[in-house]
Amino acid sequence: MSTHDEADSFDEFVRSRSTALLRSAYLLTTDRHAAEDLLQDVLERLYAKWQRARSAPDTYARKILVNRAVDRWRFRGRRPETPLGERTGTPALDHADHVVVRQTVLAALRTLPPRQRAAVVLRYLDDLSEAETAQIMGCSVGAVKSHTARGLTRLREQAQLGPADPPVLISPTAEPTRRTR
Amino acid sequence: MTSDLDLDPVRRALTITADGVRPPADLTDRVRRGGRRRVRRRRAALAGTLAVLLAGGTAGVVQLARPPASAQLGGVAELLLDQPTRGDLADDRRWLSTVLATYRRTRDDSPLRGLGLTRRPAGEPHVTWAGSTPAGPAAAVVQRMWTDRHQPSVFIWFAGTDPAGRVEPVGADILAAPGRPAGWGSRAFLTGVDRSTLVVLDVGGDVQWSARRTYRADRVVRTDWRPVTFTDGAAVVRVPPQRDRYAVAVRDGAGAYLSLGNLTDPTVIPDDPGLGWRTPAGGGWPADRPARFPLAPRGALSLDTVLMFLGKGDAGQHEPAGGATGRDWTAYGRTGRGELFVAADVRFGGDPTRTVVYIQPLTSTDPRFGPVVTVYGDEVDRTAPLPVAVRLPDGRGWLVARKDATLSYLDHDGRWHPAGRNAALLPSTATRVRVDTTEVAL
Repeated sequence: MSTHDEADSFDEFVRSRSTALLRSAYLLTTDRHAAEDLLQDVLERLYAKWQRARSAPDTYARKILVNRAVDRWRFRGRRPETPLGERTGTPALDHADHVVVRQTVLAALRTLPPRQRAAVVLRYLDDLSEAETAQIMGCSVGAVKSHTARGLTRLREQAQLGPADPPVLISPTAEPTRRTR
Repeated sequence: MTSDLDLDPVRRALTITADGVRPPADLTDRVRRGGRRRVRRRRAALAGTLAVLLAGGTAGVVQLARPPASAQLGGVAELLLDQPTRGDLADDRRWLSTVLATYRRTRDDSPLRGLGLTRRPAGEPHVTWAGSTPAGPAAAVVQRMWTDRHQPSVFIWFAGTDPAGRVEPVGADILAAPGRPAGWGSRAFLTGVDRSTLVVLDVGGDVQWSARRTYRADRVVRTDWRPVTFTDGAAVVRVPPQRDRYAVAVRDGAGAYLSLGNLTDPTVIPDDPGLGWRTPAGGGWPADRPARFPLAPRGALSLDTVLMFLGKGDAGQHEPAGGATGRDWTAYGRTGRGELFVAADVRFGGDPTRTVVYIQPLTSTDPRFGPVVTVYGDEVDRTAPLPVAVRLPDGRGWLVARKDATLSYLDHDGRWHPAGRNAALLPSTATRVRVDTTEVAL
């Protein structure tokens, strides 16, 4: 495989997968700018090991993403993360209710320990199986189940995402939406 | 147990939350630049470790300042291992036997052994090329190895002929095994008494070589690239002597520099000590540190930012200076316009030390990837009263430096002004500099 081919395949991967990876990074960091920094860091590391990673780049990228997000959390000394304020992205383009959902979910995610947060994001945003999630997180399937269950419980409590219908926050007419506007 | 149906609100909430997040348009370019920088940094760090093994640092650093290889060599190792011996001496059993005997006797002398990459052979050595050169017979030997971390690697060893006609090891390197890139991947080397014969092994693809760098005010380039011609497994090229001034370079068809295997040449090129401003004086590399000359006004300028700037010259537009930038000294501050600048010693390969100044224009918003103005000074003379004097473009002034000297300057009105110690950014109207008691014209 020539260097050109490798460069092309890396570029193609970045083009096709960076949006999905950025969304995961956003939920892992709960901060738009931190997510962009994290994604760039992840992709630079992936570039450096592309020859090895190109056979399963998505897995490699997500593995680095989760590890770096956890490292970042440790580096921050477990301090509470900054509320998003004006840095949530492009709220003017969103439905107002979605903005409220976003703020509430992000606030709830911030209360989750990093590995619980990672498990929830990998399982329910990225739609990975428990086995795939375990591979990326470098732990057992049992640990994934445990992290996920605890993370979900806490997320539901914090964001009022009850298991029963109706799902309060994602209803545009739900009371919490109006209350926070 | 949680059922999938119960999770729909969670999925939808997470999706809504992440929706609308889009990566920046220039992400691919930024990542590629950062990735290349990361690869270079990693190789430089590995090279730094090797430098320690190479006789206390000074002799080996010049070799390590070479442009690091950028090409990926995944299949090269297998190719060199698997193909029969090539070259016009491939059937010369006596030569091959002598080469292999010398290889077995000296293989562990390579400082690469200290990196734990070549301690456990995983196969027999194989002479992948043996041929005649103007400097006498030469050869390249490859052998599979296990690293200390139980990963496969391939050791490559280069040999020429010394003046007495004996086999002379001239270098060694590590070739990346497929799927496990590691090392510099040299497939070219210099041989001959004055290292004036370049041998490039043929692994497919075009290769060009260049004899010298050209220094311009804002960049260092090569304008003399020419193709090599492969015959029977290798190209053999006469080049200017490289023993005293290492300047030759090799690149592949994509423009990526290729390492030369003389990294571990036992008779390394003498190092240029530059201005010798590291501190403490005589501490010995790497125990001592580059001298730092912070100049007022600095604003919110951290050492991290300064160090980051020293890597900006490696952004791919110019010939990379490797780890040699800022090895001796660094001055930093802000220009009269408020632009961040960092000045440092810079050295390309075995060329004499020069000064480089990086300036971040006020229009640049990204400290990592924004544009930078680069200015190269002349070769420095450590015996000169004022060894560093670089005129910055567009009236930004003069960057002058001499460690431990008290500086002042004469303006166009004939008045002397104090300029501090060690280094200063003088106005463009300065005409003379007083270095302690010695006056120097600008």
